[in-house]
Amino acid sequence: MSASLPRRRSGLRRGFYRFRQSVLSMAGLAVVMVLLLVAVCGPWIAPYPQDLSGAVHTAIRFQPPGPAHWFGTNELGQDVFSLVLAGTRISLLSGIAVVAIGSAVGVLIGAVAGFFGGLIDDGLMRLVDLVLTIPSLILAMAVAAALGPGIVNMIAAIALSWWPGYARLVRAEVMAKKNEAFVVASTAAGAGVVRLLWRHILPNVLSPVIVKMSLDVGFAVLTVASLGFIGIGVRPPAAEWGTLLAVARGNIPDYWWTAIFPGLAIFLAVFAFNLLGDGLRDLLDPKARR
Amino acid sequence: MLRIENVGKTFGGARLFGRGKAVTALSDVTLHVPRGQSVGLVGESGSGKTTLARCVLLLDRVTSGRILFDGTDLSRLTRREMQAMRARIQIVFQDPYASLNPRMTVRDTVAEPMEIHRHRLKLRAGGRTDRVVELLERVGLAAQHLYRFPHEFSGGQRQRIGIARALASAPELLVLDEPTSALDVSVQAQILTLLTDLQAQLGLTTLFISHDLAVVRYICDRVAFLHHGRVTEEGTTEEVFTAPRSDYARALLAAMPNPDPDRSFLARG
Repeated sequence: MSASLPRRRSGLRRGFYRFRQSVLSMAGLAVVMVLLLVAVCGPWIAPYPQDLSGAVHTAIRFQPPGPAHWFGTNELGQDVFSLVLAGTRISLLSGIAVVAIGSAVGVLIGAVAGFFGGLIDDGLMRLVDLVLTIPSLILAMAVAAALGPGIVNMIAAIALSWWPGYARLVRAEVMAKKNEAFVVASTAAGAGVVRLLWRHILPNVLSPVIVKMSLDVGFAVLTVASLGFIGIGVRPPAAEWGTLLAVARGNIPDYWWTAIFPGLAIFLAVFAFNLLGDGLRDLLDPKARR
Repeated sequence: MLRIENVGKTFGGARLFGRGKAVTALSDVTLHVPRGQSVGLVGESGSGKTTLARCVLLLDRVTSGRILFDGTDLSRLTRREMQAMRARIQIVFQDPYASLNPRMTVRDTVAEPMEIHRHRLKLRAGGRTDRVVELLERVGLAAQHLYRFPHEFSGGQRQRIGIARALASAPELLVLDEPTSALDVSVQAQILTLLTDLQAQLGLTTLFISHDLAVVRYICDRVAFLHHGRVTEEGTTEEVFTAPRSDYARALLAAMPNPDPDRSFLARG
C-alpha cells in the first residue's frame, strides 16, 4: 500500500516563486551565501595566509589598493584583503551563535509563558522586562571585566541580553494560537503540553521567529563588531571586522583603505541579512499564502 | 449514556483586586443523551451551547451539578482517567478552516488521536496509516489525499477530514458543534448525509449543536432548546416540532422557513 502513496508536496512553492521574483531578496540571499562560504574557507583562500598569523612586513606598510594588495596593506604591512576575508569567520559565526542561543532561550521562555499564562507568565515577563533594561554593550563589558575578554564570553554576554525580544514575540504568538480550534481539537483528543506546543503551536509561530532571526544576525554582527571596536571582544592578532576597524581608526584619513574595507564588510553583512529577512518575511507570511 | 444533571457554569467572579462581574453561562441544565441516539441542542448565539459542549469534552469544569458518561462522573476523574475518557468523547468543529493544523498533513492530523491513545488502540505506526486510509475512505476521501495539507482542500473536504479525525480514536459519543453552518448549502447536505450514515454504521451517539432547526429536525431523535443558559424545551423531535410547550420554542418554530413553498405565506400572498 505505502509504495503507491503520493509524495509529500510542498506548499511553499508559490512563496519561492515570489522570493525569486524579488531582486533584492535574491541579492541578499546571494551575498549571505558568499559570506557563509567565505566564513567557512576564508583563511584558506586568503592570498597572504602568513599575514593572518601576525607576520610583519615593514617594507610594504600602507600600500594603497592595487593589483598585489586589492584592499592595500595596513600599518604592519599586512594584506587587508586577507584580514577581511579571515575576519568573516569570527564576525559572522559569532553573530549567528548569538542569534541561535538567544532565539533558543527566548522561544522556550516565551512559549512557556504564553502557554501557561497566569503567575508563570507574570514571573517570566517581569524577568524579560528586567533583562531588557540592561544595555547589551554594558553587560558585555561587565562580563569581559569579570571573566576576561574572549569570543565565548562575548557571545554569552550578548546572547544574555538578546533573548527577551524572542520571548516577547513568541509569547504573543503562542497566546494567539493556543485558542485556535485545531489546538482545542488536539487537547480534546488528549494531547499533552509537549505535543500541543511542539506539534501544533510552535510550527505555526515559527515564521516570524525565522524572519526575526535573519534580521537579527545583521544586528548581532554589528554588536560583535562594536565590542571588537571598543576592545573587549576579539583581541588582535585574531582578525575580526570590529577589531580591524578599531586599529585602523588611527590611520584615517591618510590611509583610508585600512578602515573602509572592514567597514564595508560589516555594512555588507548587515545589509544582506536585512534583505534576506525581508524576503523571508514575504515568503513565510502566512497571511499572504493560502 | 450521557447524563447532564443540573449543570451550572459561571465565568469570572473572584479577581486579584476585588471581585469581577460573574457571567452565568449555564444554569440548572439537565439533559439525557441515550445510547445510539442523536440529540439536538438548539439555541441562539450566547445561549451556552458551546459552553456545554466544552464541559462535556472536559475542556471546562462545571461550576455546579454533574455530567455522567456511562455512569462515571466526569468531574471526578483523575488525570489518567480523563485521558482515557477523551478517546471515548470526540468533537467535530464548526469552522473547518480553523480546526485543522495548517502545517500538518492529513495523515498526521487523522493519526494523532491514535498516537495519543496508542496504548489503548494497540496500533503500530504502519497500522495507523492503514487505519487513516480506512477512515478517509469512510468519510468520502481517498488514499491519494494522505500527504496533502489542509489548504489544498475545500471546506467540505476539510470537514470530512475533521470527521475522520474525530472517529480516529473510535469514540462512543460524538459532539457535533454546528458542523455544517460554515459550509455552502450544497455541501451541507452531503456532510449531513455522511453524518447520518456514519451514525447508523458505527452506532454512534451524537450531541448535535445547531441553530438550524431544519437540520436538527432531519438529523435528531430528540431536541433540547437552550435559552440564556437554561433548557426551555426538551423532548422527542416529533413532539417538540409539532407541539412545542414553551413560548421560546413556539417563537423559534414560527420563524422557521416553510420547506413547502406552496404552503408558505409568500405563495398565499
